[in-house]
Amino acid sequence: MGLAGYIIRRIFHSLAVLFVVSVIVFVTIRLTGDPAAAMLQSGQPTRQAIDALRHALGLDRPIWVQYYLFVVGVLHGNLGVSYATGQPVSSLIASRLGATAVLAVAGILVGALIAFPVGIISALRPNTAIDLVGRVFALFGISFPNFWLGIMLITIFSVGLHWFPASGYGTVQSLVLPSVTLGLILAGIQSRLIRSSLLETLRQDYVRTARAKGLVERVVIFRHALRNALIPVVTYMGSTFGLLLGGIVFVEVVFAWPGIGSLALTAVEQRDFPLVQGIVIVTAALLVLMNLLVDLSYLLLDPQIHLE
Amino acid sequence: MIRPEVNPQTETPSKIKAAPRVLREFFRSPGAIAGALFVLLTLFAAVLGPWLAPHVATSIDFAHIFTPPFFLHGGMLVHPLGTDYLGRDVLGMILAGARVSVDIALLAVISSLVIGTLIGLYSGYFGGRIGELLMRLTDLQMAFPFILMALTLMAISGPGLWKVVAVLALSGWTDYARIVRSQTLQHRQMLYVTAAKATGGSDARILFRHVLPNISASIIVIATMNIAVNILLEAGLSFLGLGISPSTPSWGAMVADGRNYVQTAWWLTVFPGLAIFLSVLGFNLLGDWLRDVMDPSRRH
Repeated sequence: MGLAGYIIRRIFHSLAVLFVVSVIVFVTIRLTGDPAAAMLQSGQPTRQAIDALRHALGLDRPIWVQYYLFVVGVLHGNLGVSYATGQPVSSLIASRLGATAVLAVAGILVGALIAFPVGIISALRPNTAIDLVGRVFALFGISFPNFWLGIMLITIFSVGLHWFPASGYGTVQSLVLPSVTLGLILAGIQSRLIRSSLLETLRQDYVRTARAKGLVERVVIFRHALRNALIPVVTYMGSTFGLLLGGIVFVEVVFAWPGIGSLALTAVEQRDFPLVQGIVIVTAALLVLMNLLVDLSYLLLDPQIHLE
Repeated sequence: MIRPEVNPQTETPSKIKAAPRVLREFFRSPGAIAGALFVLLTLFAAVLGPWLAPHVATSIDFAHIFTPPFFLHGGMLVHPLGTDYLGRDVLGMILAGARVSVDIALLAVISSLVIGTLIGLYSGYFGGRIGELLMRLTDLQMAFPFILMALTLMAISGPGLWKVVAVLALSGWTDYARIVRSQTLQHRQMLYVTAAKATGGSDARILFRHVLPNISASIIVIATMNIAVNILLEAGLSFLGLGISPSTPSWGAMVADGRNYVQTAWWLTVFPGLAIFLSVLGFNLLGDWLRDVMDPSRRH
């Protein structure tokens, strides 16, 4: 089977995953409580008020009818209408996606810029002082509560030193603290992974062979070992997107960043369930897409990969 | 947070011989000692906290609001880490919060461990359509915006300890399932399983008396790391006001509360944050060490 066949099969697999995720989201939201009652939580809603809202939201119809109507809507690019603002959910989400993308890319870049040198140096000099520093740094990275790290950075660099703004969007300065917060957490995870993967690779026979045939150490490491060591790092990246998303939600909340994460929290606080549901499904679609891309990039990294 | 890459294909040494070796290695590893220290401190606070600091959430004292920590000018030794805007003792609240954090983290670990291990054992040993289907569920998690679902579920169903536990357990079980399945697949083909079958051992007996003890090392490693993740997630949920009920002291809620006073009373955010950080660090350090000890191929 060729490359095209593999890609098509992976796309179908992704669509199937997305279908199941959407069913789970749809059902759990409706099973764990009454969205209409939760929306009217403030004050003392009457039975009639709740019933009227249930009817307006279509929650009084059988769940499969609701799901069917939802899917038909999604296929027409219609994710419903926000209960709190009356605006279409799709345009609310679209207006926030850019900011989240900027933050995610900047955070990943900061993370990679820290993680690669730290992980590589640690692996090349295992059990030395510099390795210890690298490992402690990585451990701190995975142990910091990200929201607290953000608040601490604000306290030091914006309240104390006035170097960067504590919030805001649109300037490079305002991107620094949020992306560093996100990047430090990611760097912790990635540098541990790079270190252990590279250590493992350096023990392989072909690395010994490369050294034995007299290659310069730099070539051995960057041409032979690192490329192979990256494969597990990239595969693992796929499963860290969910984690990245978690980080983004907290960073956006702490820095009042106008992205999907802060929109989700507002929606949850206002019990705006059409909006919440839309956000969850759109993010799931993005996660599926990212995982698909990771799988395909895997093909580029490893020429030996078998297409089953 | 890191998925432990456990790989103990090595033979399990007999427990009697292993114990002194493990102890010796423990005292040779500064990381393990530090980790155990932080973990013990956390557990100590969780067990004794409510006894050392009763009524802390309600003991409002307007005469002593915003008392700084003892080492600053104006600090008092009765309030070593200062007081908040209602005059509540910060150390006392941290001690009381430890109970909540540890309770939730442990309950969630136990639930996801049981669910994940059972699913892993089943699909690794029996396989078949059900086994395949169960493992597909673990693939789903990669595409699942877990944090958003958690926020949504907590918002609809309202605050509560068991709800947080359920949400955390749902996020954690796949790690156990994946590792237990791959190890069960390996062990299923080993001689001792064949021997047990030949002597007429039932599947349940083989799984729980033979296979499970042999793969327990990896389960323990995942569980240790999982506690760290759960403490972080619980703190995150309560930071957002979506954890357990707001009247119970919890570390995440303290950070959120103190955030408004960061310029004037930094101790309100710094100390509870450090409590989260140190307890998570402790479990991570211990998990790292356990992983290395249980998998000799990783020792360098």
